[in-house]
Amino acid sequence: MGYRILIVDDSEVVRKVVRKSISMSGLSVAEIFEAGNGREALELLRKEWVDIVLADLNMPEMNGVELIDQMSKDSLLVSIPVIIVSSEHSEQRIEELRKRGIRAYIKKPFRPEKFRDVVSEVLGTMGEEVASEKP
Amino acid sequence: MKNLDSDVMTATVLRVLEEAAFVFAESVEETEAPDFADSIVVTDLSFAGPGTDTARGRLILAANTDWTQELAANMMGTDPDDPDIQGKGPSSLGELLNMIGGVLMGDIFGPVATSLGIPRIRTLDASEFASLSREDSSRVILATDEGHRIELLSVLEEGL
Repeated sequence: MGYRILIVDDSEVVRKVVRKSISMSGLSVAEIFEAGNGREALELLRKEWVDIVLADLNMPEMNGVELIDQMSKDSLLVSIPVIIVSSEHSEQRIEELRKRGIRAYIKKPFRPEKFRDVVSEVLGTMGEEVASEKP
Repeated sequence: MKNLDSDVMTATVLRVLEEAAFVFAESVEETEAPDFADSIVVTDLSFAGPGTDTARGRLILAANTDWTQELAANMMGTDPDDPDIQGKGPSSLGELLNMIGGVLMGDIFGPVATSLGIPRIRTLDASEFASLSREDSSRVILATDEGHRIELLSVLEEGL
């Protein structure tokens, strides 16, 4: 049985790039869901179980930080690992997000192999240490 | 903190083009640059440095509308004729600028948290873009290895 993955990004282009990276990663995937912002993601998460959320930060209506905060208040969603995939490169922001519970951070632009390594590490170590993006 | 000058902008846009879209380009002088086509996609993105009393402004990226379809195909690893990506060229340019903005903010301000807006996307003709580009503080003109023109402008409202 494969993983169920939710991609959250307001850019359809990025959702397709991430979807393509997942398909190239060799991960066993059962289903990929997409949402255009945090609000759509929460609506979907209340209907569908997913193994991991890959979310952008800067989105209209509900951004990535608000999505993480909402998930952390929901007993059914709090255990789902979140990886942020963002153009923002600030180490200060990444550290703040780690304190909010994200499992890893992937900076855009990313190479497919880096994406694969980080996602595989998080999926392979659920419940263990927070994954780090390799330099 | 570095200045947002044309050298920093050139290095960043070349790096992001290559990493995100496998597009190879070089910086060229205006006199050597290929002309824009009649229809140009122009995307702009607001930015602000750390804190409230800081540098702020906009980045503007422009490219031929037809070329943005190739950009979309390259970013998504597919063929320009793929029906799934038709009409995605302009938003691909917006996402490219988002990535450029993120890298530039890190290069200029270092590890502190900065702010980027959401890219706005418009289609202009060459004369409309020429009047827009008169506002710029720094300007970079690139030619791709297939001869397409790309411009990155910065418009500073405060600082840097």
